[in-house]
Amino acid sequence: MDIVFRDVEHRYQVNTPFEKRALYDIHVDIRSGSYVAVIGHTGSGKSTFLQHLNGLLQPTKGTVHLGDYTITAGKKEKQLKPLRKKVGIVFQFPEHQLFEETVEKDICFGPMNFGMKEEDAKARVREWLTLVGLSEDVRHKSPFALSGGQMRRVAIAGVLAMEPEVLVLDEPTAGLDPRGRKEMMEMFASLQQQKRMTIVLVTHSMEEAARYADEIIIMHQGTIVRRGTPEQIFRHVDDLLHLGLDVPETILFQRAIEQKFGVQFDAPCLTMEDIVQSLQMLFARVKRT
Amino acid sequence: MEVVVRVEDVSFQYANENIYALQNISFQVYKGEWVTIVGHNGSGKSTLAKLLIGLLPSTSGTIHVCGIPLNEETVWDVRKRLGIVFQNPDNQFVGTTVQDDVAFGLENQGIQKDEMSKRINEALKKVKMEDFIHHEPHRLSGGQKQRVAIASAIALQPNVIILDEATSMLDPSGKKEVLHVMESLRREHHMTVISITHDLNEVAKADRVLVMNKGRIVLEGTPAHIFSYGSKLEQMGLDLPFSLQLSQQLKQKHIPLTMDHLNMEGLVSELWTLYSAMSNTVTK
Repeated sequence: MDIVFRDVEHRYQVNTPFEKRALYDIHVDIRSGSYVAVIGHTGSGKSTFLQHLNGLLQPTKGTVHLGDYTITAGKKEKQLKPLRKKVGIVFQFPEHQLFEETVEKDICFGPMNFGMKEEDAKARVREWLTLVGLSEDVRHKSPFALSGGQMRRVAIAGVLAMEPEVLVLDEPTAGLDPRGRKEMMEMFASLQQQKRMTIVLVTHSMEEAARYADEIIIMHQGTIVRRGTPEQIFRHVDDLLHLGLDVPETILFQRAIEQKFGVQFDAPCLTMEDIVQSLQMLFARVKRT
Repeated sequence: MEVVVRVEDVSFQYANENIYALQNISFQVYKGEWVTIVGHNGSGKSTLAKLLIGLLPSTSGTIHVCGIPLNEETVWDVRKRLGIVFQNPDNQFVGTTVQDDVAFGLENQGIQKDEMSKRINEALKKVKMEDFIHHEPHRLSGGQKQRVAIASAIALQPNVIILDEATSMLDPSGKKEVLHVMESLRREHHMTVISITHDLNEVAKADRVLVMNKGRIVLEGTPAHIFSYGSKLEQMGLDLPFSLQLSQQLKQKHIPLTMDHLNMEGLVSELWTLYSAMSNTVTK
């Protein structure tokens, strides 16, 4: 499902004294099956943007195309329910939305809401649990008896159970420990590859964006200020620092080395392996000469 | 040195669970010390925090806070000596303004009005939120909310502040704000701090680090000492500082570093020394 935004604007509380333009001049193309990271400060419009991805918010100007659906400003859209099955949003701290008595019931709630029979849904709970790395043991437990990390996985399983084509993730690793963060990010990467899902990741972590995304979109004060591949984005470190954004430690280290050694690496180092390789080349060159 | 918190041989088991969430935990926290407790999700660190403030009773063992043994009768007395800031900035507000919120705890302790407004102003100044005294808490940013939560805790003049993953739900700038405030509290007011975290920057600021795994304290020492365990920490699901990981990987590729560096400057500078030495020998 391709996603296309054309000249999208969103204003909250239009025609009131509290009217606020939260989003403007948004032009975006997200190819089906790609992995896009959206980065920006709190208040940059990221959350407003992502709520347009399944029609939770509708533009006050411009057009959003989501596969076969077109949402145009000012036109009432009636049939959004099937769209919401295709675009699953995992909100921040999704574990706060768990409510059922058992993990099984919680996961089945979504698909049953979209018309799946109870026994069909139950028959697939094991599969969904496996997708998020949970064992069958938790199935009949209360979700509230689980650890924070497990609760988050249950909540994500509930979204995956609707088998969305697009998975929108708002800060999915916030508050998790390092191992939990890594496992979760690897899980999303493999979902993208195996199920050919489109992934839109909203994150504060430059490391995650650099490592996993095909494309990075940087938002600032309600609009998109940069977009490109991680290599393109991190070639312009000063721009990022100027916007008050963090820069991956690999890039900071690369800059420190380049300044101290008076050299210039060919490309931005996005991973630690990149740095190790660049340094090896640097040292090998000195041995040869 | 004065012991503020003494935990002796404490174990804890949740109802309906076979395994112990905490097993034979013993440690002490001294006055003015900053102790960080790290461990992956489920290692028992938050359970320990709940035991310290008497939200859960220990199954066995004893806890003393400022010399008072913690039990059902003393729990309110003990809580006056401990302030705690929890993870979620949105779950700990009761007042409609920042001022009312900080006042809540003071009112509960029956503090006089004059004394109360004095303490509120002081506490908000310490966390650099004095300009927000009449603001509504829910309109503040995450970092500001946590600073108000810290102010509410310190207004009660506790002997110890416990930060239970207090920065983990904040964005990077919010994290920095809170850590900055905590540092100044320690430097200028000699606050005793127990911080429970996975944030490496927070770990690096500690005087002493306790590492928990499967309900036990498995390592204890200064941040540098703890990080020197390297891969052992990774097996426990913890991260290592960037410079340390990179030092180790470079050594594996036969770049002869003499040590694992904890900060970037140190690593860059040793690499430069090695590099210049090599180019000199080559030119000779």
